Amino acid sequence: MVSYRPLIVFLLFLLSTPEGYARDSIIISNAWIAEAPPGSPVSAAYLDFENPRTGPVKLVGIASKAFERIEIHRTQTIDGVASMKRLDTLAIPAGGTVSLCPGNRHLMLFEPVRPLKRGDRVRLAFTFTDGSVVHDDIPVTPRQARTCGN
Amino acid sequence: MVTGLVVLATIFGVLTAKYQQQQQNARPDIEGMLWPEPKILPPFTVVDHQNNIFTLADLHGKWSFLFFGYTHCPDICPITLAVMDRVHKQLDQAQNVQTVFISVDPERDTPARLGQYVTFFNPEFVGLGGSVEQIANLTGQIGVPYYLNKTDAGENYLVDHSASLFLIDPQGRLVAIFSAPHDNGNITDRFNRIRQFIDG
Repeated sequence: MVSYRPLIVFLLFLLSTPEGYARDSIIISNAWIAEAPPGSPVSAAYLDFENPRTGPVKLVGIASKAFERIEIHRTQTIDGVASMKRLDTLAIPAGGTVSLCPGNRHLMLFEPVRPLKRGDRVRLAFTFTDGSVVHDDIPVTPRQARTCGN
Repeated sequence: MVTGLVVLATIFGVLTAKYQQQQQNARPDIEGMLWPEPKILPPFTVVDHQNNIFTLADLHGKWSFLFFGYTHCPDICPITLAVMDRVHKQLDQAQNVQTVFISVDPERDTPARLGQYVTFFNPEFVGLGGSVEQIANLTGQIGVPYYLNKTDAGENYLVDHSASLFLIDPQGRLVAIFSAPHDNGNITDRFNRIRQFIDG
């Protein structure tokens, strides 16, 4: 009779991934806030989210003391007309990276509490579906003349 | 039989692609030109960011890149103005070229706000606003689509608008449209060829 015991033990081992690994944080990189014209009520932030986990996760909220409100938006150009759509969440697949870059998805930053200029750093708090929160201090930099992919 | 059809379709596809490529190569080297007879803009009146009247006469004698947007726009409008700033710096003869940002949201975009916005990207840029009717007249003449989503939350409504750059020649004629996504090297190159072609 063939014993399935070693296989069952192996499967149980796979399921029992160390807690530390399961709790790996979402990694934020390449983050910048575009310096906005003086008096501008809105600005945009761009960044990459990397999900090192074995399961997908969603970004569900962004908060900062520096802005009244922050939303996830997507610029789309259809038949030469640009429009912005608000996204409720942003899915980040397991082991994948999602980029927010100019001309596409971005964080829309409403009503800065005080004027921001190049060189400032702004702390943003990102909340994900599992309740985890990741903070990042994001620099305000001059806008570069480039869009996603170029 | 099926294999034969697939082979025939493949050959047809390859030949069609080659023909289209040849046609493209045969086109004059002025990609971006719109019409054999450029569209002459009719008279219009709007208000610039220094609160002065701005008319068709202010387009005469210069090459003008027109972009239609709004200052509550955090992504595509700043990208385009940053690109145009680079274009101005790349051009050999930038003295008779102007970039004009026209607000399709003139109720929120006062001249003062427009001034702060456009000159942040380049002190020479011109911002235009005016009454809702004046902007509707100008956009209607050029054929610029836009839509104010005023059902959105309060004062922070979003505006759908053309992402293209419209090029007006020194005779006040609409001669080309540059579609997004915008790239400063591409715009500079195409503009130089168009200017060379029209100036003869």
